[in-house]
Amino acid sequence: MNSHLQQKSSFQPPLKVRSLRKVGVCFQRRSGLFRSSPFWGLHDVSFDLFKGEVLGIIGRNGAGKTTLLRLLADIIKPDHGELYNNGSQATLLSLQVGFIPYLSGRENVMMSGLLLGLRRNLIQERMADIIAFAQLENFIDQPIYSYSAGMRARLGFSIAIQLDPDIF
Amino acid sequence: MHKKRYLELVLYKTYADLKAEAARTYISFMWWILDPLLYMAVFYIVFDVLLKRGTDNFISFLLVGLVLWKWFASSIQHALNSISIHRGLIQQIYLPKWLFPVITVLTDLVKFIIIFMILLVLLLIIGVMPGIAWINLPILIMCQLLFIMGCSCLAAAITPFFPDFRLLTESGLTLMMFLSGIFYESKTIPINFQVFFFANPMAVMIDAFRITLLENRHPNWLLISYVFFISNVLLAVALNILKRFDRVYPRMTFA
Repeated sequence: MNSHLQQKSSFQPPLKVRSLRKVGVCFQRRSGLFRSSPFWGLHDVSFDLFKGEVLGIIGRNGAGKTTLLRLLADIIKPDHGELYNNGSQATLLSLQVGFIPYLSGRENVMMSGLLLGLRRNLIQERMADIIAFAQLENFIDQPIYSYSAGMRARLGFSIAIQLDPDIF
Repeated sequence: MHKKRYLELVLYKTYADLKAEAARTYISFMWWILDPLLYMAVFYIVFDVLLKRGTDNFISFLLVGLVLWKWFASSIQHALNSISIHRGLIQQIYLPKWLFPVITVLTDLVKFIIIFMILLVLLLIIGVMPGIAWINLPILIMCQLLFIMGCSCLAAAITPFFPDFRLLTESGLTLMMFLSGIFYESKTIPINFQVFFFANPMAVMIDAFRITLLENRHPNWLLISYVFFISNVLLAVALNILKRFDRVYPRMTFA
């Protein structure tokens, strides 16, 4: 991608995918029947995120890392400040999302894939690849409650790598 | 683009939930037949064997009311928790929240269709003759489905904000059951109270199904359109709440 930009010779600014201006997220902590106290999980957060950048977030427990990621993935909205979103897709690393223990591995690939935003045809098309990557050919029609934790993890991972989000 | 994706998702999740539910028991989906049969048998034993009120008419009259009521009540109870059950999901990926009550309503619709088939068979065994008015059944079922959809989405939309609502619904449903004329005829209500009685959409629908199935007459279309109107209002309000708080639900604590 970078070499492609350089060939064009004219300077193009990198694409801004997310921009936060004084963003805050407020949680209401209930302290009585009708009383609740506000708690700012995130306060005055500002940064720009450009295409191709890697952003690392470090913090203590409860610092708001997950909340920030949920903001970037458009799962929640800020209570304060502005969040610019260029419309690009962001996905949290969500393995084994929506797995139902009583269903077979194959059915869970379909279920999880649909939840993660893949279309039915596409999942059907790639089913064989997903199963092969997870190395579960012999067990794929068994219910996944019979899988070991490792087998479930492999299946979850091979679905997740089928996604092609802009931010992950 | 998105609409088609959500349609695929709703249909597959409905199938998956039904299959998972069946897989949880030994005789699996046979329960969908056995459970309503047992339910109807209980009322048959109480009213026919114990209370000796069982003229053939009364049993068929009772069964129609019970089947419709059970569809309504279980749909509401399942939809009530549909969002909080999937809290893990909505905190990881974005999904429009209307999906969840719609999915539970569809699973309950599938179970209702099975029960309704059994009901029709039982009615034929009892000696009810199918008639020309039965062509109205699809319209009545659609109208009932719309009303259930409206109530279910509304219940799903407000329960996360007021978990206490769950406890209220139980008593609310019991009260509504006795007000919907499952155990008595609408004719037994004094004329000046009929307006209030038929303000309850479930009373209208149960009455309409009985008139159609048992008396082979056309239902009162004015009352049916009233239910249709109410259902649309409920559904519009519910979808608005769900849309308005779409990105607030993932932040709920779900006590």
